[in-house]
Amino acid sequence: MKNDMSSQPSAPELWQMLDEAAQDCAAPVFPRERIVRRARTIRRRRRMATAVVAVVLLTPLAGKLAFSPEPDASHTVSSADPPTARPSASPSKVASHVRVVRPGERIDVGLGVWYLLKQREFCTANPLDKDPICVGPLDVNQPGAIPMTLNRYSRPQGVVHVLAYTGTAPAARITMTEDGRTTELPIVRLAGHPAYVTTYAISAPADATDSQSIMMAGLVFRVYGADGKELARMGGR
Amino acid sequence: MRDSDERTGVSDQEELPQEDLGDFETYAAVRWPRLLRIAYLLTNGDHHEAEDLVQVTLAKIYLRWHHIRTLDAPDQYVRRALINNNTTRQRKRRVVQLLTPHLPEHRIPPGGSSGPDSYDTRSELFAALATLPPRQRAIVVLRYWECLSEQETARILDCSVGTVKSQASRALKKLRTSAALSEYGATAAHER
Repeated sequence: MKNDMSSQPSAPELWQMLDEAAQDCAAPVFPRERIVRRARTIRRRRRMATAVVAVVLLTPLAGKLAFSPEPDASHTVSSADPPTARPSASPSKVASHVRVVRPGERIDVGLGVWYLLKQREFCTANPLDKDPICVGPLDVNQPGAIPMTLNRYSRPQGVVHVLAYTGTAPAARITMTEDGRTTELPIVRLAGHPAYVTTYAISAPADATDSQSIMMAGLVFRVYGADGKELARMGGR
Repeated sequence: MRDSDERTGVSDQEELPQEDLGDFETYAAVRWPRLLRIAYLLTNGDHHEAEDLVQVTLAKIYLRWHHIRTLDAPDQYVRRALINNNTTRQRKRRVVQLLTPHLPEHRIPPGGSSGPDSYDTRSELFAALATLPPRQRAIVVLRYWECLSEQETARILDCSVGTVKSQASRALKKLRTSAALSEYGATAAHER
């Protein structure tokens, strides 16, 4: 460690005056304890200030994340996470996973089927289709008349269902019950349209011909509101 | 600061490692009188303010000692911290300090029966220094008492050499108006 305290006066007269004045200041004993104590206080204060700043900055962000109606806005919604089966004991306690997409954004469902959403239509497509086939205009402006619309694609591996709900109340949860087993389905919707939502699912392969109805296949789709009340149902009756 | 603490594993309880602490104590104890005098000049001869200023500066140095001890010129860092702390304290001061550190005494004219004692001269010196802005005062202390070069002063104050020169020139011009320093001012002006 180099000592760079220099001692060559460049202006001797002024230096002398300043030095005489400085010599008036008698240095007391080096206050080690007091310095260490003050250092601790400074450190504590700095940490507290950092914590306060962090809280102030992060609180709005956390609040936004917690209460945002659009928790996720990924560009492509895929069916990488297949709908999971849950016991149907308490339907009002669980909310479906919600994904918000842009109009025209491709949503991969699985088994080659995909679809996209428009303001008043949802358009599904087979793997070989160049352009999707649109269903609509849906009843988004006068909702409730036909709350649920379903498209099905039968494949050897399973039956792909793409379902749209246009009800009077926003959907919080959609389930599919197949042979007594209930599966939570993801909710996919456009921003600003909480009562116009879609979902998709893959059920077991159908043994019979395509003309077989979902009721016959033992499938029931249910839409629940935020309070757990069933808003709409398709199949099962 | 916290990053450094995490890097060295320092906690509130442990503070610095023992060898670092000893190193800091040695350094600070040796520099203490000198730093106190710099602070004394910077604070216009207020002993309590000067002591407080040096204590706070050394406390901050203590928190960063594991880094500062590795520097080539730790004294430069310490001086800079001292000056910055002083500037900050003056800026934050809400109420102008009206109490002077010295008792006001009548100056006896040089031609009188008893000449001006050193106490009068010092009072006038501090009064003259008090008229300078903090930066100019720091330049006067560093250049004309610490005897640092213009380059070293510029480095400490984080400004250009030209700024040091111009600020020093303005400071000396102001100091020349002081009766106690008028003689020096004339000499300095002549030297320039």
